[in-house]
Amino acid sequence: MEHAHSVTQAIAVIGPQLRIAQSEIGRMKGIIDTAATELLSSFGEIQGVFRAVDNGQFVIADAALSRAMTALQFQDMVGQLMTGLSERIGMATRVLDHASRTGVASTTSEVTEQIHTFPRQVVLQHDVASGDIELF
Amino acid sequence: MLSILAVDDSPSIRQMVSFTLKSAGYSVIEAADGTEGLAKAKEKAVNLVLTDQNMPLMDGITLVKNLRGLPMYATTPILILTTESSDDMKAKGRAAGATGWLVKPFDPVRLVEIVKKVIR
Repeated sequence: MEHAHSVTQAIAVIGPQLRIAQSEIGRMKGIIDTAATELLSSFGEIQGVFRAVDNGQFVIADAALSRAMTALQFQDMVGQLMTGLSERIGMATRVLDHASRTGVASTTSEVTEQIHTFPRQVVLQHDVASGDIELF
Repeated sequence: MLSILAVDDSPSIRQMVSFTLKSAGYSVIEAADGTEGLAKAKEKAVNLVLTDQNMPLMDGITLVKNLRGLPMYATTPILILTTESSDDMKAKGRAAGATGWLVKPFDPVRLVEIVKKVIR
């Protein structure tokens, strides 16, 4: 009984921490999204200025802008990873909630089922180098 | 002016795609998911469709299947632009009737080159 009691106590501590982590992931995603939108808007204005300069400088500036726009897509990839992470934390939290209520982590619960069927990782990139192109 | 339908649930990616293609002289229509993309494609025929794969309501491959079922999109180029890079998903895209598979992040210059190559 002493062991069961300590597990329940651990769940009581971990559960709220996971909820905070999930909330913080949501805030991080919001900040990154806002920053990316602002940067993109600035890029549009900068490109307009570039077009007004002489051709040689424009080519250099345009190439730099292209690299910046490729790199800026980190926001989309990081956003998808954060969404996946947040959903996984949410499921882990529900498993803990279920365990704290029933005293067992049921392997047949709806949540456990969700974990087993949760989509695999869709973002496998490790950097912001542009990806492959395949025409069929 | 040649028109392109850009479908992506990420507002920033839509903005980047739109910005890139408009700068190259194309007219761009935007949609936030496959359902909206299909509705806009039916409203006005476009010369090329560029779609993400993982989106709410309707994913990219389902959109491709639906478009290929419409006579007006039987031969229109459809490119999938996605973070997905697995061979399995590419094979599904190809089987659905996609013209090509582009893995994000995209290089704006390369994107325009590919669009110029396949657009009709």
